[in-house]
Amino acid sequence: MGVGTVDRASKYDKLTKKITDIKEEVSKVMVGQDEAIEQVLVSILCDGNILLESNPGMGKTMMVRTISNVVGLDFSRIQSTPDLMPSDITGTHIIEESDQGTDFVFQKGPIFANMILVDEINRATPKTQSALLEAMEEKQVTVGNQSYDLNEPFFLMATQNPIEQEGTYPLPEAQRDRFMMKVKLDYPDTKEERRIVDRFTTELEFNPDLKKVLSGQSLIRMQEFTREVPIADDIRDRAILTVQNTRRNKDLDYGASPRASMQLVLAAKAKALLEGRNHVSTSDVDEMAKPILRHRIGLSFQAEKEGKNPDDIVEEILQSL
Amino acid sequence: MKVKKLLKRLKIEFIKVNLIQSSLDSLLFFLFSNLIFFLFSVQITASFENYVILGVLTSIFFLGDLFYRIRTYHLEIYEEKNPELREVLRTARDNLDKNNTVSQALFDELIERARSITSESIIPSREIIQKIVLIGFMCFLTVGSGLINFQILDTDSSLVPELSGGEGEDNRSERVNTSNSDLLNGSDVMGEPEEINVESRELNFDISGSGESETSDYSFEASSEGLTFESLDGGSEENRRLVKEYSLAIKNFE
Repeated sequence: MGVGTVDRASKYDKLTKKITDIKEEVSKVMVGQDEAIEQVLVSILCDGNILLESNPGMGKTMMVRTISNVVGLDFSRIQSTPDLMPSDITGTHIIEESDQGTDFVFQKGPIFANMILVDEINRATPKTQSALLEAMEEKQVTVGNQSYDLNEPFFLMATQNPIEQEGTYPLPEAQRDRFMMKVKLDYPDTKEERRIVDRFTTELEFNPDLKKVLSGQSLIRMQEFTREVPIADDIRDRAILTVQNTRRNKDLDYGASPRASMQLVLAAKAKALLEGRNHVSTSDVDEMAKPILRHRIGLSFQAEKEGKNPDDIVEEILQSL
Repeated sequence: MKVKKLLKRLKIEFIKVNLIQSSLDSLLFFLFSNLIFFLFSVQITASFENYVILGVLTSIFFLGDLFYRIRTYHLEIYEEKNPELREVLRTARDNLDKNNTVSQALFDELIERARSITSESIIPSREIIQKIVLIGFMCFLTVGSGLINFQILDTDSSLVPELSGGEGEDNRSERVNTSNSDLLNGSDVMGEPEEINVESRELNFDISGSGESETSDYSFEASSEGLTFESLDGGSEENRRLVKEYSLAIKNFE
């Protein structure tokens, strides 16, 4: 075994150790929601953005804040309202007076962080949503006639409240496609809820000592590792076929784009890495299919009438393969 | 590269196993065909013995069977038999050209795990045992039928005409049909009688025996010790004709 091989083997060992540490640190704060946490971590490893759907009080902010602390990222939160302007997010030019005179300087908005939580994105106007989507896609914002690069790495997690729809501006299909995955937070079971109550009611301020496992640079390196995870041709083809089948399913008005195929394969790679495996398994593709596809497909009227939801359709497609 | 060597080794192991399988199949084919041909007295062709033809056919069967089996090779066979390698082998095969940290980790792990893989894992023991038992049974039937000379049909016909310049089926049957009449023809059996010149030599022979003789017109003398035949000098034309007639009559009678 050559020196280079040994070096690479130790790098891989360090990588898997760090992933284990991240999971351990996050579990110090979060109770349950293992699937959601894993999907968020997958998204971070894939450099993707997340659409979170949950009812209020499910610990979304806590989860995102904890993860950002553990992976060494700056965290910022934006509460969307109908009167939220793009400049409230991106920042604006302000007049600054100094000894040399008066000049316009750019005052950075809350979007200039590594990890952004945009609460109730569907309450923001389409204009503000577009500013956020530009940030997600281009990793830059444009103020006036000048563009500013965002911090690297950059993640945006937007939440939608599934209950209240009045006075909202639902994201169009094309814009939903830009989110890598849609993560659903379910209610905890009794045992988990008991632990949550115990954990957060015994101390005035529950603030455990969290270890910062990664830095921004090491996270970028991990993202590179994620793309290196090998996948067998037939497993890759299974992912592609899954996405293609959404386009010919009779219960769907429209299916997922080729971007979904790319992101399904990438998410499967990240999932494998999180599981401590150095190759993608069929189960990785299957488990990632729902969060990757559920917001990219449109149910037909007939399917909605029958009470089906996107997860049911994806499950049917997976079963048929 | 180690993984390439490993994949090559796995394929060779697969070929080895299928070599055994094909050999057994071919042996079965040979024994079965041979037995059938024997039981039904089938002669493939008059030009060669059956076993020569069957040997050639068996060789062709062996090569075809082996070729077909090798073509069905896929790594999933090993994955099925070695669950710890499920998806790993395929992934390694499809990413042989990758030279990065995670792929290298996969290759290292595969090499480590693959040490335990041998052809034993893909040998269909049950199938092979069944075939061996069947071969034994076929051998027993072959030997048994040979010993008791048991044949369902007892004909002497060939499936294929003689290969080069030989007589065909028609000629052969024609010969069989005419053989009975030929037997009645003394000249056909004994050849045309030759005129033997006996004038210049005498043949004297004694036949010892006892008994009574009847008085006849033939020229011989009998003694109490035996019969002494004396040759006739030359003999007449009439005698020679009689000798010839009697000889042919005796032949025909036999």
